[in-house]
Amino acid sequence: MASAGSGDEKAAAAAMITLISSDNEKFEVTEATATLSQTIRHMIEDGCTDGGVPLPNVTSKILARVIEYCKKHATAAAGEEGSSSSFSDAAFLEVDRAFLEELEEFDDAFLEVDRATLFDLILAANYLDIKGLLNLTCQKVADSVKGKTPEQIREMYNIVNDLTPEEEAEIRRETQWAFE
Amino acid sequence: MEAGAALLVPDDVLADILGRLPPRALAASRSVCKAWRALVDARGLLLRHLLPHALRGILIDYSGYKQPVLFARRSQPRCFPRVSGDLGYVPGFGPYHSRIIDHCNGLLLYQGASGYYVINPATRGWESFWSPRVDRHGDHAACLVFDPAASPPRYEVFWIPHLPEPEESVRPAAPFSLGGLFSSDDTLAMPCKIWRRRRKSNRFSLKLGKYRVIKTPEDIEQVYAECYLGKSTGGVCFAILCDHQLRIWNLNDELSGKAEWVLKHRVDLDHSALWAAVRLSERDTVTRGSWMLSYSDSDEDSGRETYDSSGEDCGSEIVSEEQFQWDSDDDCVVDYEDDGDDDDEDHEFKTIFFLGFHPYREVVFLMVSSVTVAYHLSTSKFQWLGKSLPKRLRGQKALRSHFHIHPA
Repeated sequence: MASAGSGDEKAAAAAMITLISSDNEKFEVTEATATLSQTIRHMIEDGCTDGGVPLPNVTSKILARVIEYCKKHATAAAGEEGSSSSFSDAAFLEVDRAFLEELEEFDDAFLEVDRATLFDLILAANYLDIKGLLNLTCQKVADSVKGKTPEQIREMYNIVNDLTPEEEAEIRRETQWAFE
Repeated sequence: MEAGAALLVPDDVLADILGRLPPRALAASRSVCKAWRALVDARGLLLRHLLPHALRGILIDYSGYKQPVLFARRSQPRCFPRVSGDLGYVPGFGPYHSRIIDHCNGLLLYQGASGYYVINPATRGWESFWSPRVDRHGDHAACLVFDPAASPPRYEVFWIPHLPEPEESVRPAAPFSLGGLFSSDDTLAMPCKIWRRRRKSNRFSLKLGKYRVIKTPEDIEQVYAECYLGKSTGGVCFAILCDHQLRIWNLNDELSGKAEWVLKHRVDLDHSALWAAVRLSERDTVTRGSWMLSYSDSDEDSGRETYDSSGEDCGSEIVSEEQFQWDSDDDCVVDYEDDGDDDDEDHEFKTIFFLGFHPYREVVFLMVSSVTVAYHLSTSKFQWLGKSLPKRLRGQKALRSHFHIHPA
């Protein structure tokens, strides 16, 4: 996976971690990829990853997507580090921008999923403590809510309106400016 | 649009999602269901957006001067509403037996001879109320809490007796319904400054449990220092200015629920750029800063009432309004070059006053000598705004001040 291979990276690539999904599927990933998850990073630091890391909250379908994300972002991070010494500043900035653009495109494509998958990804990112992925997925949901009426939001997310008419009127009174 | 995947995520994640919404969408999301409303309220998500987004000027109340004066950007067309320091429309307003004792989000709390008044200087509206405590104003501090985001906006006035245990002594004294973003009592005599907030904003009923006492980051009785409690970009801020050392804390409790002061800035104001700004403005040839004092019509600086005061009993605040913006970061930035001929020797004797926090930028306002300076916390830039002391009072020490914010 690593194209801009430095010595360090090869050493890191050698250390493999096995992740086990809830449906018992095994995924082999590099430590660099796995440690994008703070949860797994702590497990590695505590030395309790021998024999694989069971992730009972994450299905194989979702774990595969999460690993896809982590691989891409770990590669980008490694690429940046590797290139910094061998390019002039201007060239480095150029490469940097290219990386960021590529990463952005990847993220956009990555989010092209149905809502159920999106929520599963959020739950996994939250459980595995992967900041970038949580950020990405939460923003996607926030964007979907933006500009919608409460009724539309309820419909979109199967939310039952348990507010009484009086309570709704009170909310309107409290923040009249938001409903004008 | 596909329908119906349920948004079943932990509260922290939902708070993260909703916290990304702009104010209008966030306010609307409160009426989706009870759980969302409770979450938005409990995490104070909406409160962060309720800072003002305009700054009209600084209203300064000098002791020894007959009425407050507005210090604001010059060269602005007369704009509406016109804010002025002339409070003559309030009955019983007089120069010496009345004072502004607190302010909150654009309203003033003013104590006259016959009672307390809540004044909106933008609309010239006022309400008065009498308190049995008005005759005994040595034994308590009064403060004002105003929530411009509520519809209709509500305010509340508190009397805080000077007692050793301020927790037990906070009591609502007037039958006004809830205000409540924050406020500060005004006395250094108390061991705690009191900061109040709406804990559960589901209901606006008056409950004592709404407020809590938070200790200041340092025991302010122990230091001879100027303290200031305000609100700015980082939420609630507390500043201590002592021996030209400015320290600023942010209150960090939005998510953890545990109030904690975090020291954000430590600034040595014995900075050549600051003194350069002061020297610049003290030269008579340079009299125009980008800001100026605006006197009311009857109040040109020819006042017969010279009042020899060295007291420091003032309130001042910043009043905000759409067009009267501080609209440039680059006006009168002090480009200081160390030219080696500093006459620094008298700096240590100059008092620096802390005027307040900019409501929505990382800027604080300071007054040194007769000059007001804006200090940009993120870039360490000093910006000279102009002379803010009426001529009458030059050479005297007479100021204490805060921000004030124009009601929406």
